[in-house]
Amino acid sequence: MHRLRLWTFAHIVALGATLTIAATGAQAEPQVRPADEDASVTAAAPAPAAAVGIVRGRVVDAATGEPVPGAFVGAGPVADITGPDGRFAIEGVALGTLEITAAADLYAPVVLSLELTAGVPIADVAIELAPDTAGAGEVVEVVGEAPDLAEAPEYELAGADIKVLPGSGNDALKALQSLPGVARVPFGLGGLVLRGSAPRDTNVYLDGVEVPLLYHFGGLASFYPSSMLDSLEMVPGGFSSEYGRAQGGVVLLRSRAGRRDRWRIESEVSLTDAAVRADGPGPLGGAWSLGLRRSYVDAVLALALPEDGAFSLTLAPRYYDGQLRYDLDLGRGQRVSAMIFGSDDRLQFLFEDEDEMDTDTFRYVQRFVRAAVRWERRSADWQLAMTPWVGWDESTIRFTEEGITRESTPMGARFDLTRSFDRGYLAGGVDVQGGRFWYDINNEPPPMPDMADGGDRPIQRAGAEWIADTALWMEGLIRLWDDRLSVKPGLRFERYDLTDEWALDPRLNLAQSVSPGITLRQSVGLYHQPPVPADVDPLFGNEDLGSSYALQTSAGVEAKLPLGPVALEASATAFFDQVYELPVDVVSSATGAADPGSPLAGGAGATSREFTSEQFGTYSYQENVGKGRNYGVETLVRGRGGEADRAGSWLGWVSYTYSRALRRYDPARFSGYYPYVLDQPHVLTALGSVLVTDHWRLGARVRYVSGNPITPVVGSYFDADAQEYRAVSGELLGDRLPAFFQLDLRIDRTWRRSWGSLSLFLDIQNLTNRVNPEGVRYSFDFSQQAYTRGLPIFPSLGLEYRP
Amino acid sequence: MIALPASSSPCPPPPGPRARAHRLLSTLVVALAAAVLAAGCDFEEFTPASRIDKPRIIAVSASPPVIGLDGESELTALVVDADGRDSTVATEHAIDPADLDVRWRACNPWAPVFEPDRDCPTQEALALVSNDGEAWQGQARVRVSDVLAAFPPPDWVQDEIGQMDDGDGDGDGGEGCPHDYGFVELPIVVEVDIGDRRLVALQRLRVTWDPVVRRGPAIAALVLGDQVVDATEAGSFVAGRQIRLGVSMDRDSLDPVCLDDDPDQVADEPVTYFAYVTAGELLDEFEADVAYEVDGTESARTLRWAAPTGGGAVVWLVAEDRDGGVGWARFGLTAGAAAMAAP
Repeated sequence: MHRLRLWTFAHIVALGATLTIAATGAQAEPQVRPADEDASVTAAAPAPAAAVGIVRGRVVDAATGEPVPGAFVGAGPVADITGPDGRFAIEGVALGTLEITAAADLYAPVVLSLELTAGVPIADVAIELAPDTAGAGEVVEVVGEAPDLAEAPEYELAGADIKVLPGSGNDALKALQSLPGVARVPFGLGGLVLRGSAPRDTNVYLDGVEVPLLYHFGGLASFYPSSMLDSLEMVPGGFSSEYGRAQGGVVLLRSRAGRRDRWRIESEVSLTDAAVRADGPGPLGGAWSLGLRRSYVDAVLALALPEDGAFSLTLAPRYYDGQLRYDLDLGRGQRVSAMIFGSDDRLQFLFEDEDEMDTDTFRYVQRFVRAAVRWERRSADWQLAMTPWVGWDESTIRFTEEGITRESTPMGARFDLTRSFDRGYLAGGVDVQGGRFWYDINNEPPPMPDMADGGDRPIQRAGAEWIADTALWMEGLIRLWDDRLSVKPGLRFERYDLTDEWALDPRLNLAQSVSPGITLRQSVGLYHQPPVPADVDPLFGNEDLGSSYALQTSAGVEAKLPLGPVALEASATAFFDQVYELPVDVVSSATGAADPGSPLAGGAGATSREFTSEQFGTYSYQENVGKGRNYGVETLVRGRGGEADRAGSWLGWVSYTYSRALRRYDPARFSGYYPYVLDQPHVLTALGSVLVTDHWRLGARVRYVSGNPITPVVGSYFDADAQEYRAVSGELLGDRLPAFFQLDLRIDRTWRRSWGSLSLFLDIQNLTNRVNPEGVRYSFDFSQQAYTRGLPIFPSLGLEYRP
Repeated sequence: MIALPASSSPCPPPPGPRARAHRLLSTLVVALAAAVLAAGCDFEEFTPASRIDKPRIIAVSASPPVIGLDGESELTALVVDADGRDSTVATEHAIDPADLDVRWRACNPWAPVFEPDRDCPTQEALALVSNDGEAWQGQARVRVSDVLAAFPPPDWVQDEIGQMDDGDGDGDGGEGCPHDYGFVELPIVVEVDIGDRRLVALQRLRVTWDPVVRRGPAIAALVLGDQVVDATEAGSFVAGRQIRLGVSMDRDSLDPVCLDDDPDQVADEPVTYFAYVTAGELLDEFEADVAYEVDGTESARTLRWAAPTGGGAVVWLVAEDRDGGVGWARFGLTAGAAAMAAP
């Protein structure tokens, strides 16, 4: 499991040096309690001599004695996040005198000292955190990765690092693409292809609410500003029973609560958009957090484009997003958060003949809004949370009058209950999700079983449907053998209303701490995924389509190797996923290359389709007769050195993934497995960033990725009925585009003044302007061909102000 | 028509020439902002489909286009080349018969044919005898009885035909439009060797169990700007100018069809025509529709042709109706005197 977390707490700026916590705001005075005030330390039984040790224990509320989940506990360069029972375990801790730091939202941080020796390499620590009544302190983005012992193999990535990673354009979600196990996405856009699964196989949740998409226009920017995220977790496989309806992975975003002491306003300006964000105290002792962002590419283009062109952007790519959250502490361990967030993307082209007798428009709209309330209550051993939510979505793509408009009023609720024990916890809940789905289609039908060439004229069709998927889930965690073995079984029982199906998904995660600093992890589980409403339309899909499911397995090893001033980590994870009853087109795409855009053709059309199918459907007649097989090995070696935020500090890593993503298409026509259109056997990423001086930072990223598969064209014939040429396919997906190679460069300059700090960054993607083919285009008779090139050199320039 | 989402690319068409210069700043911003959208939109020019710059098959006709179970049809392929020659017989613009070898075969109608060489190889198809006709080289005749003998229909076909035929012969299941009919498709493959090139085309002939008579559409004239050019005449164009190009159909050749929304109303069958040229360029599109109202009113779209700056040009118009009926005509055009003086 790759887990990336971006934690935001108060007060701990000054602790960054020892905890690799990077402050992005102005320096603030730390509020540190003496170690002996809030914590007690007991030495564990002697263990065999080792160069590194383990610090483990539990964090509780000093006033109530209740466990504090989600607390950050750090020991030098390594850290952990407490689980639902407040427990943590930090492995790979260098022997000697240590400073242990604990911090959590709404609590004052704590620092304590202890000593690990070769004779006593394990320490059990009980930490009490006192509520933070001052509410002061600088808001800091931290850093910290929590190796939850019973999760699948995972990687750490510091949150502060995200903002300096080259090639990510200051976007936390795009930073995910530098991690192992994540395939490269064409055209430098967003989207997540995790361990060979399709983009639609990965669900995205913000504070427990599923959101329909991650990026504006597929990748211009994330729908949620990175600075308003509290944590970001990407789980490409082996995820908890708490989540379902996805046979790939999940992305869990948690928004940040506002500060309670005073208001703060920050802003950010880039080439494409401007954003303003603010947080501060609200009534009843609560806290507001709000943000608004708007792109202005449309305004600039409106001034720049000529009025007499045959092509005009009547509405250039324009996006909004907005966020509002209010948090209130109700006392007695109760807390409520209300939030509303949304995104609005629009684009419109106008095509005119010179005599303006013939005008066509292309219109694209993608917008959604979600409103949710989360209430939670924590006691010593119990935690209860409820999150009802409602939303509204619209996806429109139309060429003049023809096209598709889909609207929905999704709604859902989550009820989660956790009971903590000394040696683990038991959790369960209800996950209901559904709503009203409405569509208006005016288009020619795709090829159907009784109409292989599709319709010859557009069909107008509208309808609506209510559906409600209901899931019950349960999982437990037990630590055995002096916490060296963790076992987490889970079960998810679900009904899919749309397809009238029942699904049962057992899951199991194991972890073993074989020696200090070395952990083995394994996972196995079933993951069901229902079709989207667009795929079961009787005229534009198959109303009998059912769910598919994946058997996911993984095993990995992690090693943390502090080598003096350099913290080195290495990991390797092998995975094997088998997907069953995969929907595949059984009517069209009979000749591969003859059907551009089909999965069997590969290239830009096929990959683009993968990223839009969840919103608009696959627009094909599919049956659950396919299979999928994803397997590979992910490796990561990462280092970090120097004193954080000081000149000379650096970070970097090399990740290499060998991955195969194979599909078995319609067995009536094809035997065996063929490459998935985003099958990329070799994905190599090397990046580094160094703080050259106190104000200048320089970073670079290099990527090498295998080209995506395509079906070669070996000839053509004239289809006299259609008056057009059809391609004659070579070996199905038997060829590949040339390999992708790209160099990115990033330069940061920071000015710190009494009134705040200004940060300017220049992130240049594809510095060498290399032509990376993303597809092949053909002439009308397929006798000529040319590559569709990917992103040319593309600079991102941004300026951020923080008080 | 748009096919979603496969063809839902946001890529704009290749931009035309800009009428005025832009300020440097605007250009820079536009370039940066549009880079994301235009990253995958390359504008390399391929030879357009409407331009005949090498030997091609541009139409295959069956006469009649719809035949009964005991019927037969005459098959013709229109082969053209960049010099304005075609596969006619004994005309000044005929391709030398010595350079042309035409071979026909009928495929198994009970199996889908997506790729002729793969799904209908010569050794598994019914070879049809090819001979030059009075007007066209390399014609062939196909008899349904021969095809059924070579490829006996499976039981499910008999059952389906039985269910669809209500016995009144109109193919409509007992009610609805009297001009509708049921049919199965008979794939026909034609291979043409011309010079060192091998051309392959696929046509699907309709075989019906209803006693209907359908014809291929005939083209009466080319509409070139204000001119109406008969196929037997020589037309002219203004060199270097954009000219509206249309078709005039022989209305007597059009079959009656019922309106989609009112089966009791009958109009002439609509056609789609395609224009192919040896010189100049068809802008935007090279196909357009011609439709007819119940009262006989014609509604026809035209095409834009950027005529060559000099010399001559040949235009072939190919019309296709809803039955798969195909008709075509060749028009030899020269640059007019006025045109030669045009800037």
